[in-house]
Amino acid sequence: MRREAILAAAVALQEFRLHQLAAYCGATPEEVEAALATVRDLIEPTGPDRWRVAEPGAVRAALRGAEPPKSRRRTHDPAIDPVSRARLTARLVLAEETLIECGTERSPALRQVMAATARNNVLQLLAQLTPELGPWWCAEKSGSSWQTESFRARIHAAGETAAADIALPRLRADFELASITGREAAGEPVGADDLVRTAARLRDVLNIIVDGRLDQLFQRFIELTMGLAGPVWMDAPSKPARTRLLVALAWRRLRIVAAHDVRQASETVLLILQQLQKERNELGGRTTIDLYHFIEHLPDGWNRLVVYRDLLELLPRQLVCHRQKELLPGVLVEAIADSRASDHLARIATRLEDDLDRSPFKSESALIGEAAHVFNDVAIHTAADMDASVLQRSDQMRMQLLSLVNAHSGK
Amino acid sequence: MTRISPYKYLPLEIWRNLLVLAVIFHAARARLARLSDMGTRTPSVRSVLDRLALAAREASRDGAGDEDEDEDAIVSKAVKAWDVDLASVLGGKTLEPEARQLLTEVRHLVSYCVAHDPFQMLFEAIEAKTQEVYGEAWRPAMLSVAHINSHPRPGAQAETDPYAVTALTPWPPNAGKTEIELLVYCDKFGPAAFAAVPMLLTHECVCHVPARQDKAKNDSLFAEGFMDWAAYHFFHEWAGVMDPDLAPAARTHAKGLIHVLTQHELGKEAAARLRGHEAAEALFSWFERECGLPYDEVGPRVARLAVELNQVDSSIEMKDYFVSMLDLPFPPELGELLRDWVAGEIDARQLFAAASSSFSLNRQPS
Repeated sequence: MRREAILAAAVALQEFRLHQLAAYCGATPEEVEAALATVRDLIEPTGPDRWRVAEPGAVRAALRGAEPPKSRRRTHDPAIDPVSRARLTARLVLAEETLIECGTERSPALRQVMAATARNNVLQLLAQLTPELGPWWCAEKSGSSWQTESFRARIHAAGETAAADIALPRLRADFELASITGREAAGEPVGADDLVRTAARLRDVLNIIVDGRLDQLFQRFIELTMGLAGPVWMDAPSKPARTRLLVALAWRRLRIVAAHDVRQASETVLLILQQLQKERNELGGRTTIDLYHFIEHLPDGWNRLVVYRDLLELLPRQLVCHRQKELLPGVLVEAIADSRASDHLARIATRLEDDLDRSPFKSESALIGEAAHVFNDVAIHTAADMDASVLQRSDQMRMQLLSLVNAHSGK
Repeated sequence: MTRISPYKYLPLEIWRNLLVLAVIFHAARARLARLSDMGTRTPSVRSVLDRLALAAREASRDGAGDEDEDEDAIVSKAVKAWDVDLASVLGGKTLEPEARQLLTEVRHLVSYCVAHDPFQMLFEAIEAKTQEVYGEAWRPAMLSVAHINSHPRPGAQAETDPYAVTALTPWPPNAGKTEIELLVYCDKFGPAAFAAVPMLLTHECVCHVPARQDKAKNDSLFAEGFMDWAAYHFFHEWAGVMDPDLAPAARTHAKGLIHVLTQHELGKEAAARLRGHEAAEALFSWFERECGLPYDEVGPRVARLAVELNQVDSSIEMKDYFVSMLDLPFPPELGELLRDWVAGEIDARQLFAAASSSFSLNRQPS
């Protein structure tokens, strides 16, 4: 054991026990004692078997005069090539896996830390692609904890130089998700625009890259969005029960789609968010969605209307209604109906709205259960008066609704 | 020697099988690196190793119903059987000269083998060294050996991943004695796997036994990456002191093991290990370049910081966050704190607390 290595380790430890120093530098206690004896004036005892380097600078100076090591080589990290692709990939893996893990972390404080770790990894990866724009931490130096302007500038710059297999849309989506995760955990507001933008990023990435980890990341985004779009976005306490019912159904049905087809779900989530944002903007910031909304009269006694989709299952066969397009995916459709069908749908919608308003139970699950109950009641009356097949259709719908009751919304 | 398995999770027959192999590899440790290397590329040596596995299995099976037969007898029986095999191979005229020389040396070394427990011996040496590093913060530890039914990394090829052994430290550690479990896939336990055992045990001792954090996390940047770098640092310092004969093979296969563990499909565990090592290397370079510290001082200094941070009571997520900031160039605030730590103006706890709170985590949007 070289004396220089022992004394260097002593300086590194500053204060030490004899055996501790021996363990740090792979020496025997006898070798350590011999080495320390050569600089006796520069170290001092601080207790039984405890020593302190009193003059670290002087020890270093003494060592500088010694011969440079000849046989000693760096053996710390044989496997890691600092410029390898694995280095970039590792950061991407860590960022995404950490964001996914946030879904099972209940502590907001820890979720905030995890989001910051994920963000650091994304920023470092991007900085390696755009070294001309400065260090990785430059991206967050302009005030906000989730500043994105400089990130965008880096992404733009990286787009011109990055190798084709570095998926910049993926980095962008990861960064957006880290940002939303961190803000949600910190209790900061997350704007509708941010959710829509992140949904669009994720959809774009899912369309070009097939990777199970991205699927999990998207599932996490849905859970996060469900948590955010409820209490923060929808003014939960003052929001009408009918609106809460429709939004709850939209998210719960989306989650079922996402379990089978992430790509389709990525299109759907964007449509849901855009529609909710539109409703909110049109109503001056207060979101109200009716179960039935008349739009206009059309020629030949037809009406254009917007209706809660499940109500169509309660229409007797002799009444005519054609679906035109989905407005709130899985929940709200625009349709053209004859006047009798319009009246019938309006009556059922009013009945359901009244029951929802009267119900003392206001949780999402209770609202869905209430809707299933009303469906059954309406179907029995409609079957007796007009069309027995309504009963069967209603039963299926009721079962489907009840299956959604247990699909809890997550955070 | 004992006539029951000394490890509660290990049936006597499997223990005897494993003991035979470990005792023979330990006896041949001065030639273990060569034996492992030639075993993968030279058919004659591979065949000899296959016969050793067979001899160990048969000797342990013969003694399975006879609890009066002690471990000395089992090992001795296996060694004799394998010696006959070796003699037969060495008697052949077509054996490659290189293989002949190696097998002759191994035969000679094994003829002096003693039926002690090499795992326990290695563990005690490593535990003693780690205890010296951690001092009063050390938690007493014990080794437990268990058998697993498959390779730790399913689908592993013997040529690229011969490490049919892994280790873990169940969390939370027992207040009395922290148990380290060495998990061995006996069917594929060859010289490379035996040579990797010291590094595995060093990792568990340095990274996990004295750790003060809220939970275990197999994909932690800090616990499995940054701390692992420190474990490698210590291992390279200790290998030659603990057992100079085993050191060349142990170092070679510590290197092989980290290669496997950081490249394996690059899942989150591999990525965390890779990134944690990289963070430690970044710190190493920063101390050299920015603080002008001499090379010999920097390794112990990075290892010291790792050891001290490991003793900080904090969430593992916060420790991971700290490691995630170690990417060159460091944020200026972190650089200042590190300089203060090098100058002895703040301790590791203060460094960690300040680093964890002074960056963007608590910064609110303006």
